[in-house]
This record gives sequence, C-alpha cells and structure tokens, in this order.
Amino acid sequence: MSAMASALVPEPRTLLDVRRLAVRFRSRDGVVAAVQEVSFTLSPGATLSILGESGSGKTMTLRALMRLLPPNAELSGQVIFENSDIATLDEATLRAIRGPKIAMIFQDPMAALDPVYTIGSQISEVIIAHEGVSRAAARVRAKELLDIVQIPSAQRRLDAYPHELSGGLRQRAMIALALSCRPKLLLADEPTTALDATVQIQVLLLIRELQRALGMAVILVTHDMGVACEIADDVAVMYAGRFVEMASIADMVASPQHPYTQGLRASTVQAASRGTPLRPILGAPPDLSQLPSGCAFAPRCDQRLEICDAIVPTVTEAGARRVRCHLFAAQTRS
Amino acid sequence: MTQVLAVERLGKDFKVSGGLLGPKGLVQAVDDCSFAVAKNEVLGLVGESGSGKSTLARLLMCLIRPDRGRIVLENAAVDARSADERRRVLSRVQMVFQDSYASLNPRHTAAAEVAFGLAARGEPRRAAERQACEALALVGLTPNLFAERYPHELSGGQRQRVNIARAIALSPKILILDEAVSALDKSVQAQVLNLLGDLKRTLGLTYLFISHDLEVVRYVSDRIVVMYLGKVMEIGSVDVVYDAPAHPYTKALISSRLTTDPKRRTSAAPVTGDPPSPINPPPGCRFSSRCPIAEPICRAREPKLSSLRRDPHHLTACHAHITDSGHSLASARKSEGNP
Amino acid sequence: MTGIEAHVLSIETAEPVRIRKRRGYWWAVWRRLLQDRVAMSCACVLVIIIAAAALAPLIVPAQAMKNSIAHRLLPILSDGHILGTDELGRDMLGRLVYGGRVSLLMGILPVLVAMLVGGTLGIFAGFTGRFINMLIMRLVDVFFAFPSVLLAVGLAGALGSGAVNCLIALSVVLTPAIARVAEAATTQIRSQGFIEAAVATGASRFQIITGHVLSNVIGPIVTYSSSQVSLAIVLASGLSFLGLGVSPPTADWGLMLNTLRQSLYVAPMNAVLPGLIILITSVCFNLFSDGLRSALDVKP
Repeated sequence: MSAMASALVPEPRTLLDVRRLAVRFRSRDGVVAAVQEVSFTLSPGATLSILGESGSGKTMTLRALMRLLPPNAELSGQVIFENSDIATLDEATLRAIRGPKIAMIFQDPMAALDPVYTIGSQISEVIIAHEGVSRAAARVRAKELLDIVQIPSAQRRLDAYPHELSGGLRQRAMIALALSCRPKLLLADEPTTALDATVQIQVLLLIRELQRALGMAVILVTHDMGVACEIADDVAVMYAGRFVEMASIADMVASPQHPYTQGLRASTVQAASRGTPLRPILGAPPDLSQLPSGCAFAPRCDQRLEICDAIVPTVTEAGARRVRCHLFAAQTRS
Repeated sequence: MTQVLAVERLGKDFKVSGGLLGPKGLVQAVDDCSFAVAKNEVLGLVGESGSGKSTLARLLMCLIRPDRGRIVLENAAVDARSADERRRVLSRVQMVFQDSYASLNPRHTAAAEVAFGLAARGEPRRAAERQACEALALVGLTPNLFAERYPHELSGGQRQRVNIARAIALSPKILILDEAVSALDKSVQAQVLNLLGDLKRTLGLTYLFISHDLEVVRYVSDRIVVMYLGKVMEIGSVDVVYDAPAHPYTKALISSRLTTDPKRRTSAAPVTGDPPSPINPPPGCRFSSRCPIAEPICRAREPKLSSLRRDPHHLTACHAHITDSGHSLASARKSEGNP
Repeated sequence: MTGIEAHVLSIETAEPVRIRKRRGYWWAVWRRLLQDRVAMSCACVLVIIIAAAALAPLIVPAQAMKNSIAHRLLPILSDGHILGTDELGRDMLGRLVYGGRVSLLMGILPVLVAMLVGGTLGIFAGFTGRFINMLIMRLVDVFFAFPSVLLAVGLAGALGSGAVNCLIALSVVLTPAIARVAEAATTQIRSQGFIEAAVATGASRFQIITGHVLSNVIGPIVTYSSSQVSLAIVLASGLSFLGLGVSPPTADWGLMLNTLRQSLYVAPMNAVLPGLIILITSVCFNLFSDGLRSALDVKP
C-alpha cells in the first residue's frame, strides 16, 4: 500500500478484541477448563489488569493471547489483534507477531533471559532477527533500550551476563528485551511479585512511564490490587476461569459489585485495624476439575440466591461496568 | 517490659568462595544486631532480600551458630555449642517456615508430621499421635478429616496450618513466623492471620513476625524492627514508626507501599537503585549509597543504634538523629552554662 | 462461638473424600506396579523360579539327580527328561532347579548385604556432609574405580574359592555403587525444607534419618539394588565358571555352563540351557526394577 494510501486508513480504535476465549486441558481424568468465556476489548495505549488468585486462570488467559500454551492445551474462541485472529494464525505469521507486535515479560526474568549469553547480545539478536539491521546498529539500539529502562552504566552492562545483575536489574533487562522491537502490546505476567518493595515500585513506575512514552497497551496479570491501582486503567477480576467483574480501576476500588471482589476488599489487612479480626472469604477456591454447577463462587458467597447454585450467571452490563452475578443482574433490572 | 528473648550484638558471616580465580569475599549476613522481644508481644521484623532476617530467624532457632554476640533466652544466655542449650531453646522457641509445601515431608500424613517432633521428644507413639490430633484441631483442621491426609491433598492454607500445628504441638512460648503468610493467596492469608491471632491469645504466645509485606506487619505487630543488609536500622512501636519514621530507609520502605487509591498514584520511586552487593560491604552506613541525605560522615563512620531524644523506645541507626554526629541535620548538644 | 470453632467453619468445607486410611504414596506405588503388565509378568516368572529353587527337594525326584553314563546328553524333550540330561546323565531340569538355589542365593544375598552396608554408609555420608562425607565417599570411590568383574575375580581369587568367599567378594563389589546412590538421594533430601523443619523440632540426627530421610530414599535405593541382582547373578555365575565359586558336584548355573562347555559342539541345545536361565532371570529382575522405578515416580 502506498504511503499516502496507508495514511488514509485510520488507526483501529480497538487494538485487541477477545471473544469467548477458552482454554481446556484434556487429561486421563477428564477435561479441565482453565479459562472459559473470556471476552474483552483493549484500546491502543490502555492498561488492563487481570486480577486473580492462584488457580483463577489469569496466567493461562495471558498466555493464550500469544498462543504460548502447553501442548496439551486446547484453545477456542477468537483473539483478534489488528484484524487477524491469533487463535487461527499459522506458525510463521504468529512468529512475526511475537516480538514486534506483542511481547511478554514474566515473573522470573530467567524465564526470558538465556544465562549463557550477555544481555546485549540477546537484545541485539532480537532486533537483528526482526528488523535485519547490522550488528553494530543493533548494539546501539540495545544500549538505548538499557538507558530507557534505567539500567545504570548501560554501555558496560551490555556485556554483562544475567547472573551478574541483581534481581531488579534483571527484570529491567527483560523489559528491555521485550521492548526491543517496540511492540504495540505488552503482556506482563506478575512481573513484580518476586521483587522487593523498593524495587517493585520502581519497576511499576517504569512500566507506566514506558507505556506513556511508547504508546503501548499493557495487560498485566497480578494478584495484588495495589499493583492494579498503581498502573491500570481497567481491571478484570477472575475467578475459577471466568471474568467475574470488569470495570475501571476507580469504580472497582470505590464500589466493587461482585461478592468476590467485595470479599477480597473486605479481607485485606488495610481494611481492619490492629486487634480486630479480619473478615476473610470463607472456604477456598474450587478445584477446576470439579466445578460446581452454577456460579463457581456460590459455595462461598454470603449473598447467594437459589438460582446461583443452578445456573452459571451471564455477564450483565451497566455502563462501563460488567459483572457476572445473578444478584447484580437482579438489582440492575429493578 | 518482661523480656523473653533478646539478641545482643549478634553477628553471622558467610564465606563466599570466588572459585580458583575470583575474589573471595565475606558476606556479613547479620552484624551487630540487638533487640529484645517482650512477653506476649508481636515483634515485627521487616527487611528486603539480603536484610538478614531469615538468617536471624535461623540463629534464634540454633539452626546455625553465631559468629559474634549472643542470644539471651529467659534471662539466661544461650551457648549455641551445647546440645543441651540447643534443646532448651527448641523447647521454648519454634518456627513456621514460608514454603508450606517444602516444609512437609511428602511421605508423611499431617498427623504423622506433627507427631514426629513429639515422638522425638520422648513421647510414646500413641500419646504423640493424640497430641498431634489435638494440635490439628486447634488450628482448625478437624482430625477426622485431615489427620490422614498427605501434603498433596491439602491446599496452601491447610498446609500452612499443619506447619503451625507442628510448631505449637511442642508447646513453645515463642513462635517465629518466617514469612509464614507471604506465599498464601490474600483471601487465605486473612484466615491464617486470624488463626494466628486466636492462637496467641489462647496459648499466651509471643510472636516474632518476619515479613517483607509492610501492610501485614502493620496489622499484626506491636513493635517493629527494620533491617537492611544485616544491620538494624530502626526499632520502635508500629504506629510511631509507620507514621513518623526516623530512618531514611524506613521512610523509603514505607513510601514504597503500593497505593490503595487509583486517583492518588505514586509519582516517584522513594529510593532508586538496587541494594548493593552484600559481599565485603563498604565502611560507614550501609544505606549511604542510596540515601537521599547521605553526607561524608555517613560513608566514613557507621552510626550506632541509639534512641531518639523525644522517645527513648524509638531507636534508629542514623547520623542525622545522633547528637553531635557531624551530620548537618543532627542536633548539637546545648552547651552548659550559656550566659 | 469461640475463635477456634469459627476457624473450623472457615476452612473449605472439606468433603471427606474417600476416607481411606493409608491412601498415600506407597499405596499409589503398589497400584501402579500392579497395573504394569511387564513388571507383573516378570515378577510372576521370578516367583516361579524362586519358588522352584526353594522347593527343590520336594519337586525334584532323587532319581533324576543320579549320574547315569548311559543317558548322557539326551536331547530336549527326551522321554522322562523334558530338558534332556547333562554330561553326567543327570536330569537337566532337576539340575537347573537345584542350581537355582545356589545361583539365586549368590545373586540376592550380596545385593541385600550391599544394600544394608552401602545404604547405611551412603545415608550417613549424605546426611553428615562435608568432611565425613568426603572421607566415606572417596573411600567408596577407590573400590568403585575397579571394573566389577575384575574386582570380583580378584577378591574371590584372594579369598579362595567357595560359596562364602564368593558372597563376600560380590558384596564388596556391589556396595560402592549402592552407597553412591544412597548418598546422592540423601544429599538431595537433606536440602529440602522439611528436613530443616525436623531439625527445628529438636530431633536427633538418628531420629531424622529414620523418621524422614529413610522413607524418601528407600525408593531409589531399592530400585537400583534390584537392578543389581541380575548383575550379581551373572557375576556369581562367572565366578563359578572360572572355578572361583562353588565346586562340583554342587549344582550352580555358572558351574553348569563351564562343565557343559565341552559338550557345546556335541549337544549345543543342552549346553546353552544354563545360560538361558541366567538370561531369563537377569532380564526379569531388570525389567521388574524398571517397573519399580516407574511406579516410584508416581506423582501421588
């Protein structure tokens, strides 16, 4: 397409459109649905945080967006990114997307960094592979990236091996690696969970800053509401493989509507003063292979109705908020 | 206050071998550490990685021996070289570890795991098993349902309860909780914290609560000790330290907490950079390389832990708070007999 | 309601999922083993061989063991001798059954001794660590450096022929490898969190080893040892073949191979039979130990 013609095509208003995403695992004991009926859209430059506890399916959802799933996983639904459905792309096109268009950072930097190569060479390798520039030019770009992620003595650090860097610096190096081809979307899987408090806030601010500077959209998976408060525009709370509530972060914090979200907020230590007992959510998350019929949260819900044990609730929309709850649906109708 | 446990200038080093060609180094995991734990209080111990808090926990449990200083248990100094002394400590002090899965023998049922310590003390098997079931009941795990379960049949919260049961079955007076709730989901964390509170009241325990999570420490503790790279930086009551921290590191740590209000986000990181390498630390204050108010005196001389003028129970190791230290922010002693 | 009762309610409503006692790791291992067809068939074969050897006086008629020059080297499926006769006219099947007593004993007993001695050394070295570990393991390495056959022959030669000396020699040969396996398994367990937790309860070293370490390392040790039985049988047979083990007229598979060697060209099928039974026994032990290893790997 000529330059002028492409200038006439408007920027898509939706960067990512996920429709009824589901991830299932088939094993000898049966089928386990790790993710079910996940649907959402993401605008360019926006930040979505997926909040959930262990076993909620949040990591699987993230990996499904890039089709980085284990071999025995079955993916269904649509993941439409820039007019193509990632769920059905062939391997070659997918490889061209991973890196330049969508990049991922992990909780453990050693999941992304090869211990036997210097970080400079690893970043350069990605740049050369996707953009075909010379090694010298790639190295200059790599140094720029290390500067952008605020690694001090960047020139010297190009020749450092991952084990020579501290935890926080390794995390930044991994972010530099992810940003090397200026992706449009950054997927972050609990990137700061393993970091110390003083380093965690630095890395979160860095992500926020980079996102502003590069106009990048971010989907960040976390179990900590504080992380979402710091950088997210929107929040989706996950429970037993489904999105149970989606809202802007301000609305979510001010008035959570789903009993699970309400319970989470009420059970935090910030919500109680010293000496008074906390108010935990009774029970524990369900075994995904033995989900109850009806709402997965119903056994633990103190506001449950009869219908909750029988039918899985569908998503009710109220303005910008989406809640998967029979009670909320009933309240909205009235 | 009645002191049940105290450490006096405790120090522990680990040698780091650099291989044939690399430099050898010494990591002072804990150095010149002094604080006391009062009866029936919860003393919170906070620090980031490399602060030495886990090493301190192991020193208190006599799992490793100190190189300097001493531990005083119930007003009698502990000689870590003597097996009898170690037994005395372990009869009074017990620990709950962080990793609930790794702390349980995969081949033992919950009851067997709890009974092991009792049997090792000399309890006959039947009595040990009975007491084990009582301990399991105390932590909320009904023996009928949980005694015969293996670790892989338990959830994270249930496993941690087994760990707690194992510790309290030995009737300690002091419980060290080394990041005991850090690995749990938030909703389960609340359950276990409530349990710990109830146990403390019911059994009259004293807790040393080690954590990196400042919010949890604030909720749980009466007093708090802040550590950085093996040194104690600040000691004080929780409210005072959180509301008016004296040490720059404590200030930075408390400001590093994540916001709970999306409309008021953190705009700048309170402290930049990473903690320096703990190998062969430089002279002077260990925080001086990252401290916003560091001055030459800080890099030259290590500040001693001393109490603040306005509050004798609030101690900090910072030249800015030590009279006549040479730091520009330090107060000077008023000269006597001024006309 | 007291706080503790509230806790009971607050935990996940635990459905008493199949309250079966003893449902754990060893039960799962047993189940898995039972489902392994190969391992089970081998186990059956071994049980038959061992039972036959044990009951030899009851099942082999005395007549069959008498020398009879007239009936030398009868072929297989001869009248009254299913597997033929050997070079002195004795019934082959009877000889094999009786031979099993010695050969199997020579195979299993050294392994049991090595398991006991090597296992203890290895567990002690692995648990103690550092200097004592180094001392024990380097000593073990000295023996480990010799090829097993040479060491066996050398020891048996030095000690003199005879069953007991053969047993001693084989035990010494097998101990180092088992000690190594025990030490490796123990070292790995030693660094686990629950060992530190056990130390924190004030238990003595011995209590921790018997209470915690043993149940975890017994698996790898037994698996490895059972794979050594076949080696021991072959080595024992080899020693007897060389004249360093038992001497005639005692029946022993290796010895039978030696004495039938001269008849190899005359009656090859008969000469091969002792070797065949050694092969079958060794393979069965090996396959069974493979099955045992897979079963022990079961993620409970």
